[in-house]
Amino acid sequence: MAWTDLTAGDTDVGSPGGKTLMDKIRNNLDFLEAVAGQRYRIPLTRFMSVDWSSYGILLNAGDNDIEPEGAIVVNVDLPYGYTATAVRLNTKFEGTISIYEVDLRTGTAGTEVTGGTDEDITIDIEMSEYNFIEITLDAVHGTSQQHLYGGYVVVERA
Amino acid sequence: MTYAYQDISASETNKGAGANQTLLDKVRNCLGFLDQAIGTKIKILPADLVPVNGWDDVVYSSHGIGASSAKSFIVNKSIPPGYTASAVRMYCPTSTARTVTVYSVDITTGSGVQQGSAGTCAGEVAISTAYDANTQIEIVLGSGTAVITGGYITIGKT
Repeated sequence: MAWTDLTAGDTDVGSPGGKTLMDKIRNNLDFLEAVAGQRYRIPLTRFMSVDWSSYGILLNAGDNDIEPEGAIVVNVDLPYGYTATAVRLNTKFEGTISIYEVDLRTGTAGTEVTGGTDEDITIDIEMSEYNFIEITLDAVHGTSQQHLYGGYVVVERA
Repeated sequence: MTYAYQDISASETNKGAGANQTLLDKVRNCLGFLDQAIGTKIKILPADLVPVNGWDDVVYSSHGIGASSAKSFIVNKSIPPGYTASAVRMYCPTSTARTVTVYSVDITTGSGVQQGSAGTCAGEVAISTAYDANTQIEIVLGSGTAVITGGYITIGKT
């Protein structure tokens, strides 16, 4: 899918095989919506340690992941009018994920949703002008640091 | 007015009669939905903030970013060209003891012009510069330990 320029000669009664104006408009709206959402992949570099004095995040050239020494957190915002329906983080070691909807004005959070790594965790967070999604990946206990490969938030129209 | 995204079927034309929605109605509605998704506020999330003078003592707690020793934080945000930013609001729910200073920065020269400031992390900072592709907003939160849970920049079409 790609953006298609509209030309002055486009009509809605295009000849067979030719692109009509309506085809182009429909395509462009689909393109814009695809840009807006459906699956938001969380950039690894958006994650931060919850306690930088005690735990860093290792970045090893060629490993294509991040390796946190402790718990890490990421904030996700999505377009207003969309609902986040699932979160997933893929890791080397099994881990625990905690998800909150947070009101940025007060710091108050909704009900915590928890789940494991390498699985879609169902959530229901409709985006508003003042909220964001907070996703925390707990530290891995009794082994070396975690390896986080990537993750996403599934998005639907509200 | 609240818009909702609508699918457009192949049989729709712009010559609909009576109460039937025309193609143009639907396109207008879908564009309204996409505009609504952009919103009138650009959110600033806790993880957008970067500490001045290093990450030591930075903590993520109470759904926001703070520090165990006094630290300043900075965040940069871009405004879509064609929009004007009119105000900045930052939130420190547990203590408002941080100043908020807003600059517009020319990214080609690094020169910044102070747009406004607030003595505490409470209330909006009014700004009025129209932004183009070479301008970004820099927000500085003064030194302190208070947790910052986010904020927003109010925007409107120029």
